[in-house]
Amino acid sequence: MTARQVNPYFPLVILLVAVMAAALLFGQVRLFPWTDESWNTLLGFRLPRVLFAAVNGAVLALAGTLYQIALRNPLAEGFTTGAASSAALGGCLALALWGNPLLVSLSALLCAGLGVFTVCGVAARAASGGRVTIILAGIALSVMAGAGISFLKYFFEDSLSTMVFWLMGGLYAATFGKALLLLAALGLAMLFLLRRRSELGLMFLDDQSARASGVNVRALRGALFVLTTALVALSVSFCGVIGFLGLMAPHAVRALIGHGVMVQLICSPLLGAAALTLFDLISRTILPEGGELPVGIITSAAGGCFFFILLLRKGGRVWGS
Amino acid sequence: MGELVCQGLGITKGAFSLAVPSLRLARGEKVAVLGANGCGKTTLLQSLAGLEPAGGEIHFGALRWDRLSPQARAAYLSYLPQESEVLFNLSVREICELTLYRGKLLRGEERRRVLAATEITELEHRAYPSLSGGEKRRAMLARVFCREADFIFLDEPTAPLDLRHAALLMRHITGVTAGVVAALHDLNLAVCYFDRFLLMKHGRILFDKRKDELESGQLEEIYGIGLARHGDHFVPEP
Repeated sequence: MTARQVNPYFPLVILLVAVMAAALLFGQVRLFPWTDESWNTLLGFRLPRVLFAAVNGAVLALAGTLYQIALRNPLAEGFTTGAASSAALGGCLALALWGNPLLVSLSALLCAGLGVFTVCGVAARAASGGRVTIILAGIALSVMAGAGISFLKYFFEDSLSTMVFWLMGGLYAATFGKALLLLAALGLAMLFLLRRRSELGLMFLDDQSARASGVNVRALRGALFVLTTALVALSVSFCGVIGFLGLMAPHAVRALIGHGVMVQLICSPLLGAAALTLFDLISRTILPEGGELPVGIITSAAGGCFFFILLLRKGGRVWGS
Repeated sequence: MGELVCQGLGITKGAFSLAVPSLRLARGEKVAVLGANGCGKTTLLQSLAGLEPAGGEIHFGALRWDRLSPQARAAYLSYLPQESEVLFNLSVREICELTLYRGKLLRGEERRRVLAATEITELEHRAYPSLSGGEKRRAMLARVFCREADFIFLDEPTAPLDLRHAALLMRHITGVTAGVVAALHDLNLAVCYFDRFLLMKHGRILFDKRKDELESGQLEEIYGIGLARHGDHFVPEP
C-alpha cells in the first residue's frame, strides 16, 4: 500500500464537471447553430435534467456506501435492504390507483419507511448478528415486494405500461424542484456525516473496539440506516428504480481510489454523480429516432460490465483483503 | 487520574453469572486476570470498561464511571477485545489514528516506544487484511497503546504472539503509567511481569493475590490441574 500524495477528490471533480458539460451540450435537440430556442433547451430542459441525474447518482452511491459501512456487508445497498423494492411497490400501487406523480412519490416514501421498519423489527428480534439478519430480511422483503408488483401489473392491466416504464427507472420527469429538493437532502446528509466522520471511521473497527473508543454503535448504525433509507426512498420516488449504481460506485471507489472514511464519503457521491450523468446522456442519445431508453437499462448493463472488469482486475481491493 | 472502585458488579447471561462484590484497581496497577475458558474473564473486563452494563457502582476518582456516556468514558480508557476486525484495506497507521480524541494520541518519543514494543514500524503502511494473525494483533496493540489512557484493558493480548513479541509487550506494559488489566492464559508470563492476580472460577474472583502470595494450591483450584512450582514458575505435573 503506497501512501497517496495525490488529492483523490480533484480528478473526480474534473470528471464530474466534464461529464456534466458534455451532458448539457449533447442530446436529441441540437444546440448549434445557436438560436434563441437553444437557450430554452439548455436552461429549460438540459440543466434540470443533468442536475437531477447527477444528484440522483450521488444519492444512490452515497446510500450504497453507508449501507455497506453500517451493515459491514459488501452486498448491502438499497435493494438488498428492501428499501428500494418497497419504495417501488409503493410507487406502483399509486400509479395503478391514481397515477398522480405527487402521490406516487408519497406512496413510495411511505412504503419504503414501512418496509425498512419491518426489516429492522425482524432483525431486532433475531437472537444475534442483527447485521446479517437485516440483509436476509431485506432480500425476503424485496422478493415479497416483487410479488406485489407482479400482482399489480397483472391486476391493473390499464396501468401496466406506465408501471413497467417507471420501474425501469428514468430521469425524464426531471424538474428543478425535484433536483433541488434531493440536493438539499444530500447536503444535509453530508453535513451530518462529515460532522461525525471520526465516529464513522471507528465503525470500521469491530463493535467492541468502536464502543470502547466512545462510539454509540447501535445509535449510529440506526441513524445511518434511517438516513440512508430516506435518501433511497426519495430517489426511487422521483425516478423509479435505477439499479446497481448503489452497489457498484462504492466498490469502484475502494478499488480505484482508497478505503479511508473521508475518501469513501466524498468520492462515492462524486463518482455516482458522474456515472449516472454519463449513463443518462447515453440513454438520451443512443436511439436514432429521438427516442429515449430508460436509464436503468444502461446503468445495469454498462455498470454490470464495468463491475466485471473491476472484479477481474482488482478483485481483492473492492472490499478489503 | 484516579483509581477504579467497583461495588456489587453482577451480570447474568443464561447459565453464566458474574458476581464481583467489590474490587479496587489502583492507578498504574498491573493486574492479570487468570482462569479457565469461560470463567468470566472477558465479561469482567467488559464490565470494568463499561461495555457491558453490570449493575452495581463503579467510581473513577470523583466520577461515576458506569454513568458516563461511552464518549466521555473513552477519554480515559483503551480496550483490546479478544478478536478484532477491520473493514476495508486500512493501513496500520490509519488504524492507529482512528479516535474521537486526536489530542490524546501519543506523539514523538512516547509513540516511538509503542511502535518499538510492538515492532510495527515496518508494517505501518501495510493494509491490515494483508497481515498475518500475530501481526494483526501487534497492530491492534499498537492502536491501544498509542493513546493516553488511565486504564488499559487487554483481552488475551499475547494469544497469537510469538515469544519475542509477547516478551516485548510485557516489558512495555510494566513501563506504562496507565493501569493495565489483562486476561492472560500464559501463567508464567503473567507471573513474571504483573503485580497482582485475580484468579477467577465460575464468574467469581476466588483469589486476589500479590505476586509473593501466589501459591500452587490456588492455581490448581482455578485450573483444575496439578501444578508443580519451580522457583517463580508453575509447571503442570506430569
